[in-house]
Amino acid sequence: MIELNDVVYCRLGTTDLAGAEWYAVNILGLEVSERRKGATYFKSDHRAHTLCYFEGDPEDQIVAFELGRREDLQTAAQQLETLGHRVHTGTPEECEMRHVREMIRFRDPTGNVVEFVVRPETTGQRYHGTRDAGITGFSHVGLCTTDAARDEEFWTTVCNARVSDRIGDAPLMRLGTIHHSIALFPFHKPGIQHINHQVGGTDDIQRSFNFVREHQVKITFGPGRHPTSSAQFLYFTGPEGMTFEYSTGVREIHDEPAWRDRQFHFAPKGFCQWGAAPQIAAFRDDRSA
Amino acid sequence: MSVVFRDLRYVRVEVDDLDAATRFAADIFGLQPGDRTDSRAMFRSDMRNYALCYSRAGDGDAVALTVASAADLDTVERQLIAAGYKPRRLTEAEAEARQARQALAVAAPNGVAVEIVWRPMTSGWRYHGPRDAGITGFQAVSLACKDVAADETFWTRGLGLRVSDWAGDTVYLALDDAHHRIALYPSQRNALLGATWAVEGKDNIMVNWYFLQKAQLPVVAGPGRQAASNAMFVTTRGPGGLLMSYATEMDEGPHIAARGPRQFADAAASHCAWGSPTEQPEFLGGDVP
Repeated sequence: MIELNDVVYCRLGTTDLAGAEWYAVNILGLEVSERRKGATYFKSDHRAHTLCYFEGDPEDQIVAFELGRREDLQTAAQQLETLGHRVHTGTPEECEMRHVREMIRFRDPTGNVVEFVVRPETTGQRYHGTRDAGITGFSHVGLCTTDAARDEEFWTTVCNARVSDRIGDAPLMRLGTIHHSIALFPFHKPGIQHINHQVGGTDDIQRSFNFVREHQVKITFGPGRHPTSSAQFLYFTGPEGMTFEYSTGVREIHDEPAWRDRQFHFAPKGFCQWGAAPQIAAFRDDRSA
Repeated sequence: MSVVFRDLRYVRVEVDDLDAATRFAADIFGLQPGDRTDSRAMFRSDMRNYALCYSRAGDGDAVALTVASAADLDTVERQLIAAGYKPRRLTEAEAEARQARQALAVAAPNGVAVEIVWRPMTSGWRYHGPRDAGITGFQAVSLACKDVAADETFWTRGLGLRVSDWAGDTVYLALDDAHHRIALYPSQRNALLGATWAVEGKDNIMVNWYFLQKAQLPVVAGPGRQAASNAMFVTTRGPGGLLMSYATEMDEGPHIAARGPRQFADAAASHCAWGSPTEQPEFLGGDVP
């Protein structure tokens, strides 16, 4: 069993690095932590970076998870290779580019590019966004899956994810006590389906709702509240069509053996208990394959 | 303040069509239909036998406060006369129509009748709304005033209410621990502006917001949060042009009187700290386009 501690960063390719940076700073509210040739890094919490935009193909998307020890990373690499995954061990340059000590890269059964890392860098400097979005940190990712049952099995049996709830066939899975750190949404191709940042409270969700709308950014879902995690949320569109989410008030699961995963409708009422309807392809039943 | 008012009792508004008004109040807004005559339709939101009265009786728009004793009614009458206002004792029939034992009426400077009632009817039956709007009670009334200073003098010197805060020249007036029960807005017109119903929590605000949109009712303001009172609200327009709001989390407690009134900016941001758009001129402060 590969023990994942947490989700640590996303790397997103873009054809317009300056535009992506403008959006990340001025709309999303992240802080630029570093600029390199062809890449910009962003902070959202105490970590050195939680998002990196780089010049490249927008379909080139990576999500990374932290493992506790380098021995675990080696064991994980062997285990993945035994299962037939091609595992790439990160070069020192690649590790340096990610502010991690060691890393491996592979594709999950759907083809999502996943990195497992050890010792991702933390800083003594807290995050301070340009705009007051109230962000408290990068928290979870939604990944596309071409076979939800197969991928759920990968994340829960090869790795240590536990299913907290399901919306239709989409499992919301926890790594620690937070209701979900990874969610899988059926879709016809691999990719990051959404990137979540937590915010301080209701006021932040609602103020951002008006702010984002005033800036002509497409709001794709919300403001609403998930009946699964109890989190209040707002989804909106970012560079290259990426979906970003703010949420607050996510449920924590502390009594691990007592929790029972629940089945919710794959319909607006399974996604929102306030009455919002998603305009997000992977959240809709009428999505085309 | 010589007299302590027990509560904000009811609001009465003239409408053209009692049946249409009833459909709004009950089916849309979620108030419980109470007593009904040919000329009056009353609605419940709590233990009051009614808190909203739609009227075709020609008795005008009114807002009522409750006194504890007949002696208090006399005191209020003397106080009003001493301050230069002209209160009138209501006849037994008039008081009965209002479901009170004794009452007096006085025209506020903005022309809306203020009625002071003693022994208004309480119901032994709890409120049960026709739909689950989460209403917990009648909370506040707002008034539009061409000469807001004159109305402020009337409510504070004539009746003895306490100013909790100002937003520009908007006056929030308290008569108990709640931040305000009466709000006076500078306006181009003299009128009863709106009535607010307390709901359990923010879920109800947001569910009702989606409900109003689905019912194709105008969302006049909100979802938002009043800067001074902290009340989270959403507002629509009902029969008689009366703005009807749901609100929750309004500031309440002795600290409000203890700290004294604060001056907030004459700006839309004081009326909504979330930046929700509104075209209602009273909620724009000095930001009127």
